[in-house]
Amino acid sequence: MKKNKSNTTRDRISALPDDVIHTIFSSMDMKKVIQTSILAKRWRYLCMSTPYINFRFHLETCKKGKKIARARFVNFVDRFLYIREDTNIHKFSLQCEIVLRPCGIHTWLIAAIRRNVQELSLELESNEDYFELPSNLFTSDIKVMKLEPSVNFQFVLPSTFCSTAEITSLEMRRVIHPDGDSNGDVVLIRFAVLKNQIIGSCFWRYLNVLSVSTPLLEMLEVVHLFDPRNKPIKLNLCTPKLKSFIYTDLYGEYNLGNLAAVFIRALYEESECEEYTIGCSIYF
Amino acid sequence: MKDSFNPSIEPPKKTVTLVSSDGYDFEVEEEVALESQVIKDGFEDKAVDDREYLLFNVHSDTLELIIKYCEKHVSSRKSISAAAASSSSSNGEEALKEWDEHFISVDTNTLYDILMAADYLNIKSLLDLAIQKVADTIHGRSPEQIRKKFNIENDSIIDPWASE
Repeated sequence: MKKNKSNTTRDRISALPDDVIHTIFSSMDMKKVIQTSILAKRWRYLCMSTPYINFRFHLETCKKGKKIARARFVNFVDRFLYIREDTNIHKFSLQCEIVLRPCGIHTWLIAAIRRNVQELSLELESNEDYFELPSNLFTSDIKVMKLEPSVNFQFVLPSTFCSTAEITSLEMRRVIHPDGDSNGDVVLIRFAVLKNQIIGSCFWRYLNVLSVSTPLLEMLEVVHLFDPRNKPIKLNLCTPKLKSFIYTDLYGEYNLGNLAAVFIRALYEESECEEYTIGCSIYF
Repeated sequence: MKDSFNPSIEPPKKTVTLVSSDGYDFEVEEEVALESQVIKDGFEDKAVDDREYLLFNVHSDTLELIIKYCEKHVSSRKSISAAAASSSSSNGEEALKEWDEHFISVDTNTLYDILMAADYLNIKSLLDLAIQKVADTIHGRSPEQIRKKFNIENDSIIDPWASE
């Protein structure tokens, strides 16, 4: 029989190293994280140096008026980013079910970018038609990005958005892309190390050909490409490493280029999501 | 077919010895030990007959649990990929999740032991599991309840929220 450990009344959570406590914070809402600062002296400044930041605002949580709740939330985020220690941010996630002013969001994004944020996730609401993302978003150190505005509005990408070299995973829904060249040809993806990409309900003003040429891309998902002239869009893939390609409601021609063995699963929205699986491997 | 050779002619399983902080030896299969990134990193450089690891920070009680976790994950990973290969439907991942949930439902002391060991041995999935458990415990509670639950002594000189 091994000896019975007699430390049932010891405080062991406070003895954990800072980075382990920070990892615990990573799956918590910032409001809850800040509350831990009053537990004891040990905890007072822990939340100020956490590299994982999740701000969530859900409508069901505001008991008082929406306006007061919004002002409080904005003030909370502002103040936290202002007094937080000058350490790097690993993940910045903003999930908000209430309309925020774009300039406020800009300030927060720039604050995160200046602290070398690696993962960014934006799920936002707006009463404007669109929200323009800051141009340095795509020249920063971000490796994982998820842009998901609410159904009512769209993000506008800055025109320099292809220049980054760091992104490995990019998920975009309802995003307005910069215009292509005069022929309407658009080379969308020129990211050097991008591996996973999801394009959902994205929007181009003048688009005939969508070219995806990304050397390391392994997973591509295209959901409903939208062209206001209702013209068929041609999709051109130049992705030698692609392993999985899923598309939904995409009409027009497909030029699959030098695709190696690919699984193609086509879901047509018109036909009530009937599933088409074309072979198990297709060689071109 | 190259992939589907008869399992009965497989070579005997190689084992690794793990020694806990209180001096107990645990002999485990190589692939189970390799769940730990720390062991995996230095594995190839070690001589085959010298595959013994002294784990100074892991008590035998905890090590037993860790090995149980790794064995379960190695075996269910195999059965999931086998089910996928034969394209038969299986709820292997669901079952594993349930098993994890049951595994981590332990008292706070054991939870820290597992957390620290998973951090020390760098077993990512187990670390995530333990951390999620702690975060969930903190989430639904007020500061006073958290202090009570985790035996945190409030050593702040002035507690500005105490009067509320």
